[in-house]
Amino acid sequence: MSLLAVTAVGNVLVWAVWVLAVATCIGTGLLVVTRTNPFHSALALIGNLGSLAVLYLLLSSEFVAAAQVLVYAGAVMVMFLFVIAYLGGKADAPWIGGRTWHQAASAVAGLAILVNVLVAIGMAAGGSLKHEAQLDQVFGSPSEIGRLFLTDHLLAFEVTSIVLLIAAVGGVVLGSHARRSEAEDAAALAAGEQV
Amino acid sequence: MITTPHVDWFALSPTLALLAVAASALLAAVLVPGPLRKPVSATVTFAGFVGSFAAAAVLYAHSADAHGALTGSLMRDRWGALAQLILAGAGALAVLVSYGERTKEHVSEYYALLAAAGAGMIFLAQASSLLTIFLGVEWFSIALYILCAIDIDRASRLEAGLKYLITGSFGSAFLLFGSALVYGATGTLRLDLIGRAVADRGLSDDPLLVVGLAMMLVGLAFKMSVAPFHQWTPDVYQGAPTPISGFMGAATKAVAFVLTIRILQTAFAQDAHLWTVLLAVLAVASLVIGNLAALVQTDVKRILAYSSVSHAGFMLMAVAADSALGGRAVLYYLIPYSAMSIGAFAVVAARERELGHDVSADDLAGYGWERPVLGVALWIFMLGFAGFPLTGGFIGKFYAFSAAYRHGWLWLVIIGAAATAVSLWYYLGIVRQLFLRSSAGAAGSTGTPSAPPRDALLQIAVVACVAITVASFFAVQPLIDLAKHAAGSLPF
Repeated sequence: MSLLAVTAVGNVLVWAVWVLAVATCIGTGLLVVTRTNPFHSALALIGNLGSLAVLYLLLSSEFVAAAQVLVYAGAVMVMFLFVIAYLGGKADAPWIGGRTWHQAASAVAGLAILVNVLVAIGMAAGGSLKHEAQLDQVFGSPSEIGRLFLTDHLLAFEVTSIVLLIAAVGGVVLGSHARRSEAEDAAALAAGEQV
Repeated sequence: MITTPHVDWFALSPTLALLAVAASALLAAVLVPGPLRKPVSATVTFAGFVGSFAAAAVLYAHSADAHGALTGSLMRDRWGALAQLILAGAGALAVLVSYGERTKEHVSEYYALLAAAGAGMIFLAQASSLLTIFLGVEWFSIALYILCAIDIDRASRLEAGLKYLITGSFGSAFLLFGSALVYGATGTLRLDLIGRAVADRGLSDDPLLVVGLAMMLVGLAFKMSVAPFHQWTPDVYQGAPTPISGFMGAATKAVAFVLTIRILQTAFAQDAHLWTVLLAVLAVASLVIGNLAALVQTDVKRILAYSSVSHAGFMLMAVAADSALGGRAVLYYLIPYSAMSIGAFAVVAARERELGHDVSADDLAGYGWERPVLGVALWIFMLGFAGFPLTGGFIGKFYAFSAAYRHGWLWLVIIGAAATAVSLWYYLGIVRQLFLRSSAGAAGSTGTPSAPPRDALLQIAVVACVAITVASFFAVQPLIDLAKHAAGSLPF
């Protein structure tokens, strides 16, 4: 097989992956807003974030793709699921209770993003987005980001762990208290316990 | 092969002292038996703040030539060191005020978080890259969110913590977005390199940079509690544990102002024509809103919160002046202001512990005769806030006014003077309650026949605050010299 054919197969593969990722992205996105069960919505959101990560990979930003999977599809979604499980059946679907200003605001925000995308496509088609950025080949690659963490941004890298540790301590402190009822609380106050 | 940068441990020492203490206090929560937990963790935390103070003092002495440390993430200079002295002092006083407050739950954790918040602020005072700045802001903010809500069973605490968390995150988001835009415009995260890029490439009117600067200022305004970004301040100060309110009023404000001046002077000196006007407008808004809103409050903590908004306005006048004199004025202003803020909240805390509920202005009726030490101290703090002579508040305001005047903004000085006149109403109103009203009529059911014994540590802290407030009036020259050397390390 000639090199040309390999490239052609590769291109077809890229297109196939792209179509698949885009279809998943849109499909799961619709599922997120149409499911009435919040648990299903959250699961669909994981699929949505995962397919976005594939799109990032196609744009050759490996680090962003990995962070997307680890942080959003992983950590953040676990938290979403915990909250949903914690609230149980108590949470209503957002559209229950008639139209609210939230819906108007979401519509405006959605329209703004649509206009943003259309303008970007239009500018790209018109050739006004053709500035080549002066970037190194390694810019944004995982190895380069890793190197920066250990050199230029060493302090920030270390401090991040401290910030997370404090947040974790805070979570434990706020979560691990002996629950008292209102009445007990008032009694304790009256007895001057706060003093 | 990656060569890691040289670490200037000495420059980090004030932060590290407090981090070590935070870890020790956390360990004390597990290892130290119940009754000893409070004395051990409070002592350790107090020692940590004192150690941090000492380290910052040595750092001040040995940082005559300002230079970056750790590849420019930090700036080792006298500006940061003097701010660290103020912050560490505020933390040590807050520990003393807190001692009588906590009894059972989360005692060690409280002190650990207080030390962690202090460490974050002290770190932030030196931070000089957009990355470390954002991390520093989050570091101390997260610790404070938790401290506000630490008695989560009480609805007011939980409300304060949640409100602070939500508005604080909103402010942080602005800061982060603004930082990203500034990075996008200049291609660097270090403040000094941003300043150089703006000057060399003529970016001062670049829309990306200007929008980024505006968003960063909004984020910082939340932390400075400058109107119109102050709405969280009264609710949070009212709901948070009172020693924490005092600590926030003093230390959060101090670090936010020090950081703002560092950012503006180092990175955005070329945009001074824009931000001086913006800050002057914000200063007027803070003076007007803070003072007028304070007039109609009944809760003492809310009065103090609005007073802190108005003081943010006075300090902002000096920042907006864009001069070394203004920088000096802010640093000097912060010294008596921090002492007065912690001291005033400490007196409120003492009264609150006697009453077992929130303190309204009426609850202070006759308090000056019941507890002369605390009463006279609160009197002095109120006079200091209002800017009477014989307190540092007078010279602080004088310096802020003269910085604005030197900039050619006589109108701003006039507004500041008018705001001071309005503020007399509520400051002297509290003094009137303290000494000119009898406790029998107003107090009645809330009298204090079974008042708890005097809290010696709180009284020591209050007396120390009085001493700082008054001494900063008499020892003005040495303090101004300190502030002058500190301001000299920024490129005004």
